[in-house]
Amino acid sequence: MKIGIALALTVVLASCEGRQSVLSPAGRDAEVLANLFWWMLGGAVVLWLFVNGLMLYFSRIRRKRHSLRVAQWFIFMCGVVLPTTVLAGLLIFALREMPQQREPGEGLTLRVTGESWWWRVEYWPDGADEPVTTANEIRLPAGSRSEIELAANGVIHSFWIPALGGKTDMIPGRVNRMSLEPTAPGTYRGQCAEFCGLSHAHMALEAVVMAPEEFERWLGAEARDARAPEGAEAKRGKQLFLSQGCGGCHTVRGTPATARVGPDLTHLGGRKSLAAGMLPMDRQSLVGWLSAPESIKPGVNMPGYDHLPPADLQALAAYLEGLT
Amino acid sequence: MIDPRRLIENLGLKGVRDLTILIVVLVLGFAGAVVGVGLYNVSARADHFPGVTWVLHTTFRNSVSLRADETPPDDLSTPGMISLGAGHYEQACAECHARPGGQQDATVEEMLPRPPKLFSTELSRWSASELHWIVYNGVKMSGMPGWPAERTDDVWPIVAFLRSAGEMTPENYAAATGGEERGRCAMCHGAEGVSTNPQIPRLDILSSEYVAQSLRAYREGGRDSAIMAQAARALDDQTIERLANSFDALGPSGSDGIVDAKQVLRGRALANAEGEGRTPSCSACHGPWQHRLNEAFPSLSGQHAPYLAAQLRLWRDGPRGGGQAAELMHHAAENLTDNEIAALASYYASRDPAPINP
Repeated sequence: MKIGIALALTVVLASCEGRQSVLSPAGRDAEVLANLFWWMLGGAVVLWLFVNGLMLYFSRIRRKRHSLRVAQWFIFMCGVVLPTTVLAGLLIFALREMPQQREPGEGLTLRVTGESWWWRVEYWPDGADEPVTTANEIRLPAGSRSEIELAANGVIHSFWIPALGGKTDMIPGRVNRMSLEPTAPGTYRGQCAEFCGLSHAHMALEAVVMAPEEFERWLGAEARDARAPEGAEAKRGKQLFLSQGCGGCHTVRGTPATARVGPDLTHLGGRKSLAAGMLPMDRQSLVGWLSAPESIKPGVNMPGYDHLPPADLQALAAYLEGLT
Repeated sequence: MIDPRRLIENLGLKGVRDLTILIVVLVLGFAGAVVGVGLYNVSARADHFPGVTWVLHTTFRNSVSLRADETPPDDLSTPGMISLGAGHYEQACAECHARPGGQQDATVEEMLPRPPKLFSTELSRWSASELHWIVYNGVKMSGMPGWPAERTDDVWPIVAFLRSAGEMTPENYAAATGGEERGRCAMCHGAEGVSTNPQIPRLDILSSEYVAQSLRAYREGGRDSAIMAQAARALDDQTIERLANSFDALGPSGSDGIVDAKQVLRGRALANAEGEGRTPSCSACHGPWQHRLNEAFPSLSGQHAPYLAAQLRLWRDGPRGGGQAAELMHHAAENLTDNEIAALASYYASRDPAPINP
């Protein structure tokens, strides 16, 4: 019995660690929320002890009749004054913190659009004319506040990276704003937090917080055209990519593939995961995804290419993996 | 009047129950004799019993008018529809129903029921949607076969032809079907693969690999079309290769020259996925490109607009198959509206054909 409880607690507490947890904040906004949570939890424990202590005291320890005045005073203090004070305190604290959660950014603006079921990500550095487009992964510089515009295509989604901040809905036809100030470099995980269809549960994203100089280097590289394929297999993969019509949906900058229906693949191989956080970025996952995306993400718009011979799928995967 | 009670007594039976048993035994005995012994004469030389013809015909007529509910398309009476129908009629129907001005075979005349001749007054009794129902469903136990495909839209050319058959002279018919000497493909697709009928695809703009792949799909049922199944079912692989290569040497030229510039521009934006839409770029697979990327994907530049629109509707709504990559087109077309289909068809029809062998 005791072992069982201990095991259950281990499981529950273990989930509080790690890269998708409100309780291990890695940014200013998440710290505020985590603080608020701990204060409220502590307050709730104190109140619980207080109420149950009083009940015990009056029902078991000092069982005597109280005068009407004492009873009225008691009801007024515990029923009106105490809740009003506590709730007003919480309200004031929360209202003071709210503007911070949507303060303007300090230069970098990201536009994240919820698609079915992936994330379109565009970086607008200060003064940029056109964005640097990528997908399913956001990268942010540590120590400064970045602004995030949230849009949606078709259906509602919600953007939430628990380790970095609160969640904000993405609504078709309007742009919601939020801002995030990450503090600790690392890789975190986000998740669509509003039911958006068949593969809602398969719509995650990676959030990478980097040191500012490192971030600048990365964004500079991300803005460049795709790397030319190296090696015979990858070269054949590029030919296949173009001849099999992949460019009907995807962009690989620097090639004739320029469509914007699906995710931009210019630097796909440099991303941490594949298919919106569903698979690790490696050759085997790429082949699996290309041949049967439906089995990984039900209802997905990407058609399967299992009609291609295995060698062609390997070549395509080699090309895509090399797009770092 | 027969008094049942006296009848029962006279037959030496002991009540209504016994009479019922007797009747059941007689009926079963008769049915057994007809089915098991062959009492009924099924000879087509022997006519029906009196009244049976009336019962069969009336049942047939009422059954058709009860069930016919397809709405004819707007372009039902266009010359393109009529001549496409004439071509298929020549291939599949003329054998039994005769050509305009022609006679039925002596053998066909001996069928029971005898197939109505093209010019019979019978034909004018039916509405367009009733004709569609008859051609698509066929008629049980009459020799009239059902339509050998699932899709219903390519029955309309036959209906268009049947409705215009009253005015069709043998000369008009010969012109529409191209006469017998021109060969089966050329009858509809033109001697050089340039069909002048906008309902029928141009073949000169297609790669030989794509033509061969399509013929195989028609032959094996991957592409659902009764008209092309009739034409392709008997082709062997060598013939398909030969036919597929027959237009290769000719450089395609000319286009329909669409006048609705607005539609063409909308179609161009859509085809190149210039918007934020959910429809993949058509041009990534179907051109216009500088160099053909994949022999298995058809070039659409210069293709006839009504044909393209009909195929896009089939990709969107129907069970259209084709080559190995057919699934891609179902994904690509699933969100298209009728308007977008019209715009895309106009755009590709307005373009000059791309060279096949650059």
